Amino acid sequence: MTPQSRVVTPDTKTLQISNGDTLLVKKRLNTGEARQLYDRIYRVTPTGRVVDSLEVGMQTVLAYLLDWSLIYPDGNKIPIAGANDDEKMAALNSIDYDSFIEIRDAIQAHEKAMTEERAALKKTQSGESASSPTLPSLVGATGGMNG
Amino acid sequence: MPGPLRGSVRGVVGRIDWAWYVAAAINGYLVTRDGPRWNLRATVVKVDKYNMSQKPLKFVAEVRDRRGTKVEWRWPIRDLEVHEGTVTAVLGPPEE
Repeated sequence: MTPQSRVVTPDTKTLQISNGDTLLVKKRLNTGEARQLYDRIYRVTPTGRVVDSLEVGMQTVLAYLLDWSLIYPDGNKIPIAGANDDEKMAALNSIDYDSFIEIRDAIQAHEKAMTEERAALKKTQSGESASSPTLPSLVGATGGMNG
Repeated sequence: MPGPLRGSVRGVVGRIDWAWYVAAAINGYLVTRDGPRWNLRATVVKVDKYNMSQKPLKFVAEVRDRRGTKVEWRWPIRDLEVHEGTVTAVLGPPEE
């Protein structure tokens, strides 16, 4: 079997959302990025670490989102390429909530699709059933509304 | 954000990026211009060896504009050498 590199390369994907807008996102997170994401969405309680449902959506978007086509009222693009998380969060907090939900849902669907794609690829390569990911997917984990 | 108009840029905080991954943290840099060619000399304080070996790399200078707003100027790195904590590089023109 040909050795496969496990290093995550900075590949991107463009997601289409409503009104002709697009999102440029990371194709997948590496371990460091995933650990940072999980660290930010869990909070410590007296009984242990629990998922902070308000943070799941926003932190997932921040982890994946690289750029977008969204514009200010004057027609200029809202710049987020190369921005840090605080700057991206400020831009996300400035848009209407329905739009944020649409962006969140698009990115979570992308995350799920990429996980399934990799599982299918592993199955093809090994001829065996793919193993479950060590860390559970957070898509739909909290149910209801998550920020 | 337009890059610098003058021929040299000196600063403290910078980094070398491979896509959105940080390849090196910079503490002290000088970017000079010789005609169409831009050169970098900088002190690296932290290097991710794998990311530094990838291409394309970019040098990012973190500066503040006249209003005090933090901005970033980016140059593509054409050629790079790292020796005992000092990086010297040939840069392309700054990105708009």
